[in-house]
Order: sequence, then C-alpha cells, then structure tokens
Amino acid sequence: MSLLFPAALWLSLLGLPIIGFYLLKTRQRRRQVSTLLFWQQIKPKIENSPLWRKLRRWLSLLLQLLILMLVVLAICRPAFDWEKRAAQRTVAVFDPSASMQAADGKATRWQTARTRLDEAIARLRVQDEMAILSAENPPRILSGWTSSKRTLREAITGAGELRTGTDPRAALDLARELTVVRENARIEVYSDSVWPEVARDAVKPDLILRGDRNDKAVNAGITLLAVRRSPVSPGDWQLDAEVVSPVAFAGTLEMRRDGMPMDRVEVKCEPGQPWKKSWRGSTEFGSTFAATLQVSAGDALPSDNQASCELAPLRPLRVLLAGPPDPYMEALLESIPLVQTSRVLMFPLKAPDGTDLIIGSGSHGPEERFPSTPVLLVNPTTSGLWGKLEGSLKDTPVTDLDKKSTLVSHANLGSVVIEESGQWKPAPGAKVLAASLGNPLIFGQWDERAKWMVIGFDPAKSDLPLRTAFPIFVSNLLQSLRDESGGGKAMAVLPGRVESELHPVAPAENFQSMQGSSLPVFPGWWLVLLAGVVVLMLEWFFYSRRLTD
Amino acid sequence: MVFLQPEVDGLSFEILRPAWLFLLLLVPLVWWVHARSIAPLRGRRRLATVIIRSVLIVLLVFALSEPRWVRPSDREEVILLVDESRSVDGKAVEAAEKFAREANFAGADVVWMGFAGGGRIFRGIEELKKADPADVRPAETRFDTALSLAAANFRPGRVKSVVLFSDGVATGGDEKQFSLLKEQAIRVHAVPVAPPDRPEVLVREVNAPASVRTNEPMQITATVQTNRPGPVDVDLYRNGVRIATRKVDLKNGPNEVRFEDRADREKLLLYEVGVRSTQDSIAENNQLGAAVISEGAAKVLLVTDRPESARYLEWALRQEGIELSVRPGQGMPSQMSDIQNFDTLVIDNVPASDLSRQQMDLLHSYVRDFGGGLLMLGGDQAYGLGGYYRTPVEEVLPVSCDFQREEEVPSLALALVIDRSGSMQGEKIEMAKAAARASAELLGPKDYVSVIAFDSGCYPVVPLQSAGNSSVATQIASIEAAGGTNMAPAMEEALRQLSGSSAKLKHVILLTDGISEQGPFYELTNQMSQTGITVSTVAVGDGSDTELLSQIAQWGGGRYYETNDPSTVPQIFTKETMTASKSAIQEFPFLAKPVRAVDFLEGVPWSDSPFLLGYVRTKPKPTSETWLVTERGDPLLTTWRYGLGTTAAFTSDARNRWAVEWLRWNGFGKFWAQLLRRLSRPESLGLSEVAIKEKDGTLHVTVDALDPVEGFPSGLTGSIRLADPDGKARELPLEKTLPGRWETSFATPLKGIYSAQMLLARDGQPVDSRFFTYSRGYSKEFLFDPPDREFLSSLTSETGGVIDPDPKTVFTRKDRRASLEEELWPLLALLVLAGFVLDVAIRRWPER
Repeated sequence: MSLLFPAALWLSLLGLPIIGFYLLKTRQRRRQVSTLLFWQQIKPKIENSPLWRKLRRWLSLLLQLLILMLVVLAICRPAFDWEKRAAQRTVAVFDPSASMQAADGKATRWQTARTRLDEAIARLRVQDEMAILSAENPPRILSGWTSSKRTLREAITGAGELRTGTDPRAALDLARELTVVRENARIEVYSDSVWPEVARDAVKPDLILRGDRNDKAVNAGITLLAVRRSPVSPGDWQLDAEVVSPVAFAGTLEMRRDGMPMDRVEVKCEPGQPWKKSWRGSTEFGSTFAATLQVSAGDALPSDNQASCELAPLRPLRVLLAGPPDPYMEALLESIPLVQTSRVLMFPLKAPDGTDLIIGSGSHGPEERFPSTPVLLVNPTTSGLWGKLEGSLKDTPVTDLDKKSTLVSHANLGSVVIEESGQWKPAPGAKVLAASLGNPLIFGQWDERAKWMVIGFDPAKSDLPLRTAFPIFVSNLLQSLRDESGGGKAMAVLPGRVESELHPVAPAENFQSMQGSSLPVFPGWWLVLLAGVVVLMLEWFFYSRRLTD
Repeated sequence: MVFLQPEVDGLSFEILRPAWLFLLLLVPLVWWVHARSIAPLRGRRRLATVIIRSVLIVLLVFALSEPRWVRPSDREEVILLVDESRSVDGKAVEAAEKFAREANFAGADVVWMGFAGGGRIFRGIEELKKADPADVRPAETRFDTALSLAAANFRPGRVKSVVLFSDGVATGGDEKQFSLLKEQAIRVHAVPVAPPDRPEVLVREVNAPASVRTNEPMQITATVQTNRPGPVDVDLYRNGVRIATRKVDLKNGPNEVRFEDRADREKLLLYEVGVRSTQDSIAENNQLGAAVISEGAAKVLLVTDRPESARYLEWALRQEGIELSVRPGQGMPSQMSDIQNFDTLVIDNVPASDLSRQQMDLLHSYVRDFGGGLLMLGGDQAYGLGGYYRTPVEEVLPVSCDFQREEEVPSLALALVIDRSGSMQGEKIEMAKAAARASAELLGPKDYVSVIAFDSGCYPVVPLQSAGNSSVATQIASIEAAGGTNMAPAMEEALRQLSGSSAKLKHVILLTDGISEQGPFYELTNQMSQTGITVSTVAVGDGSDTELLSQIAQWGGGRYYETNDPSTVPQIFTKETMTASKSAIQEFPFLAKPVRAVDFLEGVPWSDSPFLLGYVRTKPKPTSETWLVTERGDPLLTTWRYGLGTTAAFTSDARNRWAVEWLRWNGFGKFWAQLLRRLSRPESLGLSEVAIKEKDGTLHVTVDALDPVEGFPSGLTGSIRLADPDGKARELPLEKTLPGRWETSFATPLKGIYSAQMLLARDGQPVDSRFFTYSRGYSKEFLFDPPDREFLSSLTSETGGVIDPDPKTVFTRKDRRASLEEELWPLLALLVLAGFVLDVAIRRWPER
C-alpha cells in the first residue's frame, strides 16, 4: 500500500489530546456516610471483577484511536496493491456513423456503444485517464485527457449521430497522435466497423473494437436518389434511384413528386447488386421528389428507407450584346429558351451584375484584360488579347473539329464553308475547336480559369444560317454557363451504400468484450472511510452498553 | 449524478454515488441505541454526545456519496504551440522563447508544445530547443492536428488559451476543426513568424496543356521565384532528358519563363522545369513537373532480339499511320511512366531471361490495370521456348506456353543435375527445385526424367523414370542443401542413366553455383556427345566456374546460361526443356486460314496470302478466341481480353525468317495495322469527361458521362485504376452521386506523377475509359511564402484571440471562467475529525 497524500499523516497528532482525555481522572471527593456495610459487601466483587472490565477504558481508547486512524488514512488517499497497477490511459474512438443506428435486437448499436463506454468510464480509477474522439470527418475531440468521470459522461452526451457514413482513418490517426503524449496509452474503438473498403488498411491486428460484429444484419435501403438537369437541354431532367440489400429482397418503392404520387415500382434486389431505376421528364420549374421504400419487419436500419431530393428551377441566362445590331445573332439568341438579351454600344469594362455572357462583335472587344464574365467574340476585326490577326481566308471549309469538346457536341460544323474568315494565331493557352486546313476558326479558353471564345468569322457570311450547327454551338456555350446549383439538383443525405449494406470490415478477432468485472470500482479511501463508519457505530454501541468505559 | 443546487451564483453540487445515502438510516439507529443507553453521562453532555455522533455519521455518509463542488475558476492554462516545420525553420522557436521571457502569465500554468505534421509536448523551452523536428514530420504543417492535440491536453477546470507561433501556411488539414475550438472555449492568439531571410530560388508553378495532338506545338510556362535578383539557369526536361536550357536574369519575386515543344512519338510527356543558381539554400523546391498526354496516332513499341529485322514491319505500319518505336530486349520499359507512352507493346523473339521479374510484373499491370495491348510474335525464343512458362507474361497471353506433345514426336529423356552444396542454401535451392518440377511438368507421359543432386557426393533423387509418374514432384521436394561441390560423379551417373534409356532425344541440364573439384569433364561430356546426349549448363551467381561450364556446354552441343538472379532459373529450365524436346517449333510451308469473320481482319486479302514457313506450337486458353489457324489446325492468331487490355499471340513471325513471303504481300501492312489497332488501349469514345481538383494533398476526381442519344447513361459502374509515383497500383471504386456523375477522392502524399485509367462499364463490359495524370509537386513548406496573416487572423478572431498579443497584458485580463470540479469528501472528513475529538472531549472530561 502507498499513500498519495502522506502529508495528511500529521493529523494523526490529534490522537495526543484523545489519549490525554483518557489519562484524566475524576478527582475523588470525601463524603461522610452512615455505614460502610454496603462497600464491604461489594468490595470483594470489585476486586474479583473480570479483566475486560478493568480494561474497558483502554478498549474504548483503542476504538477511538482506530476511528481516528481510519479517517486520517482516508484523507491520505491510500493506494492498495490491487490499485497500484500502472495508470491506464485510453483513447476511446466513438463511431457516430449511420450504421450505428441499426438495431441488433432491441437496442441500436449506438445505444449499446454508449452503454459500453459508460461502463468503461465507471471503471476508471483515480490514476486512470481517458480521452474521447468522435470519428467524424474531420474527427472531433469530445473530451481531452481527463480522469473526471463527470467530464467524460458530459462529453458522450455531446456526441451527435451522423446521417452518413464515416471513414475512421483520420480519427485513428488523431487518436495515435494523442497516445504519443501519454505513456502506455491505447486506443479502443466503439464501432461496428461498417466502413468503406479503403479503410480496411486501418484495421490492424492490434486494433481493439468494443462492439458486436454482425455480418448477418438484414437491411434494404435506398442508396441513391438524385435528380439532375441535362447539360445539353436543361429543361430535361433525369431522376435516378438505387436500392441495395445484402440478401435477396423484394419490395416496393413509392415515388412522389411535389407531394403527389408519381410512380410505384417493384424492387427486386440480388445480394450485393443494386437495383436501379431512372425517370425522365421536362420542366423549367422546380420540383421535390420523395421516395419511400416499403420494407419488411426486421429491417435493421430505418434511416435509409426514405429519401428526397430537389430540382431547382431554371433561371434565365442574361446575355449582353456589345456592338452594332446583329440581326442573325439576335434571332439566334431569341430561339434559345430562357435567354434574356440586352444591348450596349461599347464593350463594357465590367458587365452589369447578373450578366452571364458578353457577346462582342467586330471591333468591340476587351482591351486591357478579359472581364470576369465569360466573353464570346464574333468576327473580331483586330488583334487583341485573344490572338493575332495575320491575314484573311476566303471560301474555306471547316476541316477539323475537336469532337471531344462538349462545346461542339451535336454541332455538326464539319464541311461548313466560310466565305470569309480571319487568319488567326490564337493567344497562348487557347484551344482550337474548329479549324480549316490548320487555320483556327473557333478557338479560346473555356475552363475554370478563364472563359473566352472567338469565332473568327462572320457566321452570317457562311452557310451556317441554313444549318442548326451554329445555334447548337452557341446553345452549348450558354448551357455550359449554368452551374450545377443554378441548373438544379439537390441530393438527399443518405447513409450511402457502405452503411446500408452493413458489412463489417474488421474480422472477428478485432472485436473484444470488456475485460474485468462490471461491478463499480471503489477507491481505497472510500473503503477506509466505510470501515470508519462501521467502527464508529460499533464504538457507539459498546459505549452505550457500557462494554467500554 | 444528482445536482442538488444547480447554478447558484455559478456554483453547483453533484453527488457521484447517491445510492450510498441510504446509510443515513444509521442516524435513527444511533438515537435508538442512545435511548437504551446505560452509559454514565447525564444531562446536556449526554444530549451533546448523541448529537455530535449523529453529525459525524451524516458527514461520513455524505463523504461516501462522493459529493463534488463545481465552481467557477479563472485559473488559466496556456499552451505555447510552436511551429517546427521547414517553412519557418526554427524562427518560431526563437519567437516563442522571446515571448515567454517577456510574458506576464499571471499565475497561469504554461505548457510547451511543438508541431508540424504531428505534435508533441515538452517540459520546457530547453527541451523544445534540443528536440529533433524530424519526429513530427517537418515537411508538413497541420493546424487541425496541432490544435486538436492542444485541446485534448488542457487540464479540466482551467481557462484555456493557446498562443500559436507560426507562419500560418498549412499543407493539409480541415479548417472545420477551428469552429470546434470556439465550442470548447479555447482562445487562440497568434504570433506570425516569417521564414528566415536567406537566398532562395524556386520553381513555383509549371503550366502545360493537359493534352495536345501529335506534332501540335505547346507552351510550357514556369514561374520561377527568387528573393535575390540575379542570373540563373532554367532547364526543361522531357521524360527525364534535358531538352532546353535558358539563362534568365531573375527579378525579385515571381518571373515567368516560357518554353515551347512539340509531342512526337511519345504518348505521355513528363515535363520538369529545374532551376540552378548559386544563390539558393534549399534544393527540394528547385524542380517541378507537369504531365501532358499526346493524343493522335496509335503508338506501338516493338521490343525485339534483332532491331534491324523490324524495318519491314516499321515501314509497313508507317504507311498505315502507326508509329512504331523499336528497341532491343534491354530496352523493355521498366517504369510505368515509360510504358504508358505506348498503346500496344509487341514482344518479338525476346526470351524471358532478358526481362527482370519487375519488368514482367510491369507488363502484367500495363495490360490488366491500364488497358494496354500486348502482342507476342513467334520465334525460337518465344512462348515456352523463350522461357515464358509460368511467368506474369504468360498469364496475360491468350495461349499457354506449355503444349501437348504429339504422339509422333520423339520421346525425350531429360536428366537434371543440380548442385545441392551448402552455398545453394536458401533461395537458390528452392528455385532449382521449382525449376526441376516445372521441367518435369512440361514433359509428356512418353518422356523420361531423372534428377541427380550432388555436393561432394552424388545422390540420384529421381532415378530415370516416366515423366508422368506422380511421385516425381515429391521426390524433388526432398532435396536439401549441404556439403561441397563435385560435379563429375553426378555427370557420370547422368551418363549411366541416359545411356540405358530408349528415348530418342537425350539431354542433360547441369546447374551449379560454385567451383567443382577436379574431374574428367571433357571425357565425360565427349562420351555423352558420342552417345547422342546433349548437355546444357547453367551458372548461378558470381562464384560459379563460368569458364568450365561454358566449355562443357560447347563440348556437349548444348547451351550455356549465366544468371545472378536465382528466380530466373525456372524460366531457363523450361526454355531448355522445350528447346530440347524439339517439338514446339513446326517448320514447313503453310497458309494462314481465317476461322471466322471479324472486323479487324476485314479487308485483308486472305485469298492472296502467301505461305508462312514456320510457327511455334501453343495451346489456346479456354476463354480466348482463335482467328487464324495453320493448315494443321494449330492456332496462328489468338486474342483475348485480360483485365482492361487485349492481348494477342501470333505464333509465326513478322520478319524475314518465317514471314519472308509475307513481307512482299500487299496485305502485310493492313493486317498488322488492323491487328495493332484492335489491341491498342481503348481511346475514349467521348462519352465521359474527367475533372480533377486537388486540395490539401487530396485529389478529387469527378467523371461526367453523357450519351448523345441516351442522355445520362444508366446501368454503369465506374472504377479507377491508379498507379502511385512509386509504381504501386490499386483500384478505387467510383461512387455515383448524380445521374451521369461519379466521384472519388484519394490522398496524394508522394511527389511525382500519378497515372490513372478511369473505366465505365456495363455488366462487366467496358463502355468508356479515360487515361489521366496528376503531377504532385513538392510540399508547400518549401515555398517560403510570407506569413498568412489572413488565416491567422480568421483563426484568432473566431476564437476571441488576437494577432501579435502583448505578452505583458494578454493573460492579465481574466475575463473568462472555467468550471472547476473539486471533491468535497476530504473537507467532510476533516470536519469529522474535528467533531470526533470534540465528542471524545465531552465524554471524557472529568465532571466536577
């Protein structure tokens, strides 16, 4: 046994006054009495009384000193041999992912994990420490190193559940960093190990998982419900749904649009093979889609049986025409749905707010730098930021097309004959989309860094007005300006395929039950104080019955 | 837990073991005992003692219930968090030391912590100064990890403050962590630290187009930065070869340097820009690269034993618009970045012994993981004759490199004489045993095999017996290494055994790694030769008597092999076995016969095709398809799909040996061009686009697919086959996130080029694929940018801290409180002691 606070031993000096009190004797007073008969009768009895009667006073003193020592010892915080094992330091990694909401029996995995962590906290001794992390992305420290059970229990209360899956690797890395600053620290993970396949590398043989490995859980769930507008024809939308089940499953999926029934389909899943279905439609307005999967009793995870997503409405694109009137271009733009045009005479230094595209023609183009708004220059007549005009070409056909570019997809510009075109040397960084015998006709940069495009000829002076190719090209250009959020799609937060399949990544060997008794642990001082209570009561009883003096 | 009086003036109590309050029932017991007491005390003293005893019991019971008192406290703990990364290079430690010297901590506890990619705690500044930053990955800076560690190490019940000494430049990490600091009431102050002022020149950025057409000019623009103006040399490398140097007079700050180049034969161009200067301190940031993919004509690499004989094929293919690069056997690519330049690889009569295991594994991955095409041509060093049996190359080929021996082929008696001396212990003896087993498997039931091991003595392990005997392998496995080296007795035994055999062909393969005792080697070999026994020898390692072994092979009419790599021994043995059996090669004129119509053979004038003069007998694998056969029905052209790639086996050749008449045929070029195009790595059909974004060391890949007719394609699954800069390949699934969109992310911790093949498939059949690359440069630690005050400012303002705090006043404010939890039981125990002494005094004080 050792004492964690030995300075309190000075309190044992309180024993001195206690001993002193026992040494004090009552002063005997002289009294006159009428007869000594009674004293003579009891004198032999007193002289022949048992030893313990004679020692009652010292027994009493012993008990008083024992009580004193027990209380003083408690204040000294004794550490007994069974407590003197090295301090245990544990980083508890708590998995809040969606799969932990699955029910194995009556309780969910989350509830079971919380209970187990509570038990681990209850078993902490004074010298033990624990830290708790939540395996979110990024990982969250719920509690730093502490031996305070109150702090740890409050920390668990603060742990939130996720609706999605989690990759535990970042949390395990952080847990390892935490163990570096504490000797003999170890990591315990409260999880069902339903993790993505890439996390398998993190499952080392010494990883301790405090959970139950259940690879037989039955769950069918929606893993994808998403809607998206076509980049080519933004009025058209497609809605995709996917359902998975680790075992053969047959059920029904109800689809609603804006609260009204839209479809009801039979779902048949083979193990590990997702069931897929797509719906298509066309609208420029927004819509909300909601899917409900009818499952049988015993479905482990309820959070993947419903999903919803939103299709945002199409907004009109604002095009600013800079330069003299161009009937062909104006008519072309009018024919493209949801495009609003306005006109200015000079190419602006900065476009009005909300402008999606500036179309300049002739000599109207940016001079010092390209504006942040995308720019289309039609038949520029001078060199500029976009390139150098080296000459002109007459009656030249389009011979080369960059078919891989989405801007020219469906735009059959091949074999178009251009009456008159500039002979251009594009600026560095420009890509050529269409050329005639090696001479760039349509070129520019249209990516995240910059958006400018040059049509190096007058479309009206070609056979393009007789074809759909050019309007399709301009439409492609415009539609590429619709960002995904504006064009409309929103995805429901679903647990995802990994969570819905509920397949544990870690082998059974990593799962360990709690070691040791689940009975509460009492520190040494507590047991000593309890002994003090017992002795105190005993002393009181002995005193009351005059077994002690 | 029970809160007795929550939050009264910021105080609260709680009891951790409330169940033990039941012991308060002892108080009535005390009074009951008192009522029946016969103790001599009377009057007020008697009453006083029972009251005191009751109070003592109550105090002890409450102590046992572990009450805690949570009270506000302004005691502070300060963590001085010092950046140990390369970007500040010790300046943060100096700044922290100065700060600590001047600071008035106002009674706060101070903890020293260092961090870079990881973190650690120190007992004081001296320990921090002596520590080696290498322990915390100084080429990274992770504020999320550092601040998380700091948050985890605060003691409970303290007001928490962090003073961060750093330049604010992170190489990775998630800034979402920072909002958690506010939740945990941690105040972060920041002292910006500038990197040391020393001469530095670095290549900051290299821009090149992601893809170009063949022969299209392109610009490679590099941003070279310096803090010491002056002349430097800037080099441009392409695929490891320096192709240009510019002398540039740099101004202070960033400078743009431009190069021009064109893509010619190579498909994957790895450009690196390097700067050389006398005024430079760090070398890690002097080079940076970019990858460019050259699109256009299919590129084919022919690796051949005789490059001069490839000129016919080269010319014919050029007419068909295919660029053929020709290399000798030693030129087989050994890096993924080299082999990725080509859409198809052709092996022309190059034996397996000319390739290392690593090269064969690379070929295997190139086909399976990256969709490259592979064609093997026939010859006397091809297929089994080339030793390809049971190699990674045989795995990808559509034919097996063993074969069924015909009934009329002469039987072979093969004696394997194997050194089992002590020096053969380990890998050598295991490879020798594997080689013997492989040779025995290649023989037919009418052939004979014998295995003789030798050290100082001779041990017939497998006496000459039918090769079909199932116990041969078990007997071979019993060979163990020990002893000296004496070849002569074993050769004598081999001669004795083979002389008595009725087999038409007799051959000895002798393997040793050492120098034998003297013996009549010439006589023995001569005798063997005279009795129709040929002898080949294999020398393993540097310690073998190469001269003697070479002579024995010459005397014995066989072949001599020398190798330092024991793992090539099985290939040598199988090659020897097949060569000795003389049945693999069939040399007679025959016409190629198409089996059935297929697109890549259309338009080839088979009716006019001349004779081929020979081929190698092979066996097609079960799921392969044979398109051309010989007149005897043996496969001439077989193909199959292996992983993402397609491979083919043409068992005749394309040179002036067996194909001498084909060289003049007008279908020669068309046939080879169409076949090679069929095998070429699939070009994207234009169905999908791949976009990549890099953030904090993680690459995020987005694949968008759109079918012109179908719209967003349905029923597709996506995956990426990724090769790290160190050549390790792995597969990553693509997750569908939207109609027509798939996404994935992966970390890019290594510097260099990451190559990836994206594949979209339906029901296991490829629908579209795209090849892309990503070039990862050096860590941001080596950019030596000025401190990111914006980041530090947002971090401090979010948590209530300041930038450049005044060390004398920053900790004196005391405007925050923390909840300090204190145990109450010791106080209660002290009260028990006091009351106890009083109780004894009342009872024992003498009465007047």
